[in-house]
Amino acid sequence: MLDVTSRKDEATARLAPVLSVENLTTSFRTDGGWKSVVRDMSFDIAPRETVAIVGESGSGKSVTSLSIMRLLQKGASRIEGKIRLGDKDLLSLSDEEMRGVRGKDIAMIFQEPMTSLNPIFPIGNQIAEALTVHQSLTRSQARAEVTRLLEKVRIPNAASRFDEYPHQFSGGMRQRVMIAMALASRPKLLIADEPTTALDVTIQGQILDLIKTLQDEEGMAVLFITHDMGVVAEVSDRTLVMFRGDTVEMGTTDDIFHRGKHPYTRALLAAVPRLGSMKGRALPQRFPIIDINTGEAMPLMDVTDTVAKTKTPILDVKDLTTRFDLNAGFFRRKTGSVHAVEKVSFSLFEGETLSLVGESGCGKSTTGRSVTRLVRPTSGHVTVDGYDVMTLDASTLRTMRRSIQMVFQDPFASLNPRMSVGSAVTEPFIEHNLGTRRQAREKAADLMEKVGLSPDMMRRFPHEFSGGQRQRVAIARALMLDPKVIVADEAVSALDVSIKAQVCNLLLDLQQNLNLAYLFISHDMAVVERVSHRVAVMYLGEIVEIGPRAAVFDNPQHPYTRKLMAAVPVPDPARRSLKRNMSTDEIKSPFRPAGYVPPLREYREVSEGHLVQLG
Amino acid sequence: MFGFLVQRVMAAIPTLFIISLIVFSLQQLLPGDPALVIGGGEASQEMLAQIREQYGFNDPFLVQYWHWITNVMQGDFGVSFRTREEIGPMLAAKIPVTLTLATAAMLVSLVIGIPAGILAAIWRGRGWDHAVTVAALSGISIPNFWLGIMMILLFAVHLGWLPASGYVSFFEDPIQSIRTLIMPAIVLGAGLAAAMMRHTRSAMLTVMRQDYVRTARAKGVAEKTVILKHAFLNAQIPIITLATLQFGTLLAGAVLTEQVFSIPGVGKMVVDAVFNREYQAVQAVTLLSGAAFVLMSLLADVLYFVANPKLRTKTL
Amino acid sequence: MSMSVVAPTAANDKAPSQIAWLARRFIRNKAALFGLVIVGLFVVLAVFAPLVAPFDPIKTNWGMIRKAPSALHWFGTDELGRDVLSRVIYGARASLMAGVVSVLIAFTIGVPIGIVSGYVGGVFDTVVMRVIDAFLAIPFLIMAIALAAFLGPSLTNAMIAIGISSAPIFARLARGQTLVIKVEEYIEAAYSLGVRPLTILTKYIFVNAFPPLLVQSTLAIATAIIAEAALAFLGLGQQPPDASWGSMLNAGRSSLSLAPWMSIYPGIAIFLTVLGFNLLGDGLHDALDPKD
Repeated sequence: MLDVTSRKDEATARLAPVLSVENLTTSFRTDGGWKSVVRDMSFDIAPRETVAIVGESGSGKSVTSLSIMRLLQKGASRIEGKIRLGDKDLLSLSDEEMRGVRGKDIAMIFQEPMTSLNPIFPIGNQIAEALTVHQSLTRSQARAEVTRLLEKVRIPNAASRFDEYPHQFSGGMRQRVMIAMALASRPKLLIADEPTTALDVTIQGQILDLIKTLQDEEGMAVLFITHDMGVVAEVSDRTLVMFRGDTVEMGTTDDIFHRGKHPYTRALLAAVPRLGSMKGRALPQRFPIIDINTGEAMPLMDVTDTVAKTKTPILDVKDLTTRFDLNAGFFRRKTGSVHAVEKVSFSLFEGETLSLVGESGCGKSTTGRSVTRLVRPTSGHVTVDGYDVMTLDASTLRTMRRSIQMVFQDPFASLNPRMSVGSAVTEPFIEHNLGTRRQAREKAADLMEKVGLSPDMMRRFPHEFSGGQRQRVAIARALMLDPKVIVADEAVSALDVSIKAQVCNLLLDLQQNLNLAYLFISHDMAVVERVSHRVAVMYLGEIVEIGPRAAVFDNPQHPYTRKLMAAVPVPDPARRSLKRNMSTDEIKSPFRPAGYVPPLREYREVSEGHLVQLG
Repeated sequence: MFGFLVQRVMAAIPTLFIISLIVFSLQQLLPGDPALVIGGGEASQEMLAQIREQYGFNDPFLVQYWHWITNVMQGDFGVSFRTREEIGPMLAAKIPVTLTLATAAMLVSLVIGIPAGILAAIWRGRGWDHAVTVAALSGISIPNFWLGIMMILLFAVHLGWLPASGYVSFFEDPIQSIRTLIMPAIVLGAGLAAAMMRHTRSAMLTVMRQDYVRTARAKGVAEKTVILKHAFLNAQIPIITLATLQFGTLLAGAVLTEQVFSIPGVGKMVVDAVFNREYQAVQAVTLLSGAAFVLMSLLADVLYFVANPKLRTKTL
Repeated sequence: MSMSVVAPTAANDKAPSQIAWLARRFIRNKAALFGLVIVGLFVVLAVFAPLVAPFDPIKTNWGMIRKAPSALHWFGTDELGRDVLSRVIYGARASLMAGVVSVLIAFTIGVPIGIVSGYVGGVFDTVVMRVIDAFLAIPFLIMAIALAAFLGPSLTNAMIAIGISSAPIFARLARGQTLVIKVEEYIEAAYSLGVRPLTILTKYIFVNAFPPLLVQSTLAIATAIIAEAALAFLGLGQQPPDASWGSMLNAGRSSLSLAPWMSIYPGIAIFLTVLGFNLLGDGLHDALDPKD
């Protein structure tokens, strides 16, 4: 597809590469023969260099890493080409010889720290095993070395945690354990396959820092697999862009980001929201869309102001509190409760987007479920379009749902797999007796077109749609009842970056046309910056800062808001050498023992409508 | 551990109570007058009235249940209508026989089922896997009483290698005891072995797909260690659970096996009781088998607790 | 072409219906197809028994007692001179009926209890599950024997006994499925759309719980056929002179060395039918659960 060798960085070209991949093609066995998922891929990694492979789902980036490690299931997969590690050709090694390479010369960390450790062995033993399979050590030597490794990955009280089991560690700490395990035999190359994707953004920042620091200390090369352009910009010297199994482009990260040749690269980068790019704008902004064949940008229309501040808010929340009691012990006594949402107040006007942003466990989703009464709040007042949400009986609750609708995170999970898309979209209309089946079908067909799908697709079942299409179906379904408010709970988080941009644009279009109000729940600061009128930052169940989007992003006041913003990776290669020097703290739990009285909170008004919680 | 155990034992009590209610309610199903069943067709009206009085058939259901359950708790399961023998001691004599048979069958099933299942999972899709799959499917499809009959036909009638029936206590004549036990144990254990094979295979396949198995391979751990340590030690939890919970199936299978091989165990007793219309004996055996199952699930809980660090490390 | 092509375009192909897709997966599974053929064969035998059977299954013939298999009597004759082949063919009726009817009973009792219990949850669920656990604690066959003993020996009572004894398994499975489905996001989505609880129970929960219940039903038919044969073998099922495989085995026992064919052929018939249903169940499981 392109000449890789000519693009090599001058400095690294002189060193013999640690790993050299030539014409790698990986295929999987399917019913009709072999299907290639990675085609004709070539690249080198020099000592101490970081190469990133970036691509959307289905691009073959993970298969590449598993091919190098030869961890794909034998018989079901076929690897062709040459993979050279120093003077060894990995593909011609025997299984036993390859075993000697794994964990010793090349180590790997994976995306899911929660499931990548064996649940029945203490973590110390699992790290020790990585040592003892490649060298003979006494028990005490191994223990001492493991402790050293645990300290190296900055696990607090390392020695005392040797005998603990994986479930006693948080996700971020487990990923540190995985890294310690990978470093055990001082590998020449570390393959990191989406190592921070499952982690919260502040934890991601810590892990990225750690990998960079350790790379310097150990002098290893890193092959970094990711879908996140921000992460790429922060870690990699050179970048390889993949699209459906093909190498689209490879070059220095700076070249790729600023002088990308291939239209796909440019389209991908255009779709990535960049934190801080909205400076000086008051209204939300559509994402630019670039044609992946020509590389030309399509005209970007500005949005008009839809917010109706003069009317009464369509959603009004006062002192909303939702707690979940935990019972334990023999008599199932209440031992405490999770203070998921604690005295949260905000209002949302017609045509407005208010974003709730925060990390896992901050209560943003529970807030969304509380205002729609999918969970029953403990106390407070919620008014939706004139309905008092807290006191509704079952039948009025159903009527209230016509005013407020939800779109969920996982487009694969939120549609009944055994119901055709047409039935799914028409169902709310029919269940609420809003008209005949014929009317329902007509309305559904109209909405399908509005969300960018063909009405012909209504006969199909959810599994026949892609993730982005399903999310469009879910949006069409929510619109069947002509709601005034849509609670979008991480509605674009699970989507690939280019699809994410399109669905965000769709949401903005619908707001323009239908004057919808969105309660936009997200952990993604960059997307939030793009789509919101106002933003509320949540931490441990409370709103710590709320205000107009521009005010909060340009002038963050609360320390947690600042920390959150600092942790977001920005797709700008100039930040390659950036280190955040974040402490290894973990995300706190909102669990409180029985009898806990939450402190009274006060807020300071920074500017008009911009409030910050006083510590 | 102790707290956990107490909790499980306490949870078993209501289950046992409901089992006893179910078992006692069975006699409400008897068509017609239970006194007629005891007295027989020729019994006079006075005799029937006397029987009703003696057995408390005129009392309300709950009173009858109360009498029955308080007696049962003292080991009094009633008296045989026919032989006037007490049912409790009769049962006590037969339990060791059935337990010996069940244990032998369990051994057969574990020794065959687990290794065969593991190998089938490792060599998935190859010859051995297919052979095991076919064997296991045949094993669960063969009625064990027919398998027993066929084995008698072959090994006792035709070849004369093994005795066709009977039971010899191990303490009286160990060799003869084992010779009489071989066929019943295989017959009873075959179905269970098949179930164990299928279960072990699928548990191993599930575990082998887990991320931590991939991690172990990425560390360069030898394949044998990956399978036996990282995979099997995780898969053993569902396997052990199944083994203990299959105990009930084993007891039920013993009824037929004992019938086929004329082994004087609890199973033979319950069949004889059914034909002699000894309903109290049927109730006693049903109750005991339910209680035995509850005991085995308790054992499964304990094993599960020991094998699962998540439970172990949680202080109760 | 705009950026939307980045989305996988698989959905743009002409999509086959779900059932056709399942059927293709099922047919590709040779073992399952074999199971279907066996089951189909026995169903045909049972339905057309009067046409297929060479002799009257209950007509005794004192001149032909315990005759070995021959050109006239392929499977030999029994202790009353009846044709074993004809009895095996007619016996398929009792076995298949027992299998299907008892599973229908179990399904009808067990599934609604399990789904409602799992859906309602709370104390109600706890109490129901305790009762189900208690029923499950009593070994299936012992429960069936006890029930058959108290109800009296007959094919009908055997079916009722087997049906009641296997109902708790269905209740437990249906409840387990309900608990899994209940927390799926599409259920929450349905609530938030204001879909009525009854619709959720039927169109969402039952429909999604059905595939595993169908698999369980197929495997339960296999178990029920063995159970019916066992009860008949013990004398608690089909009563003479009507033929059932279990009672034929019972009759064959006393003349095992004299007339082994009386024991061999009914047993093979049970084995094949049960194998057929088990293969069918496994095949359905693999077709419906595309995990591997």
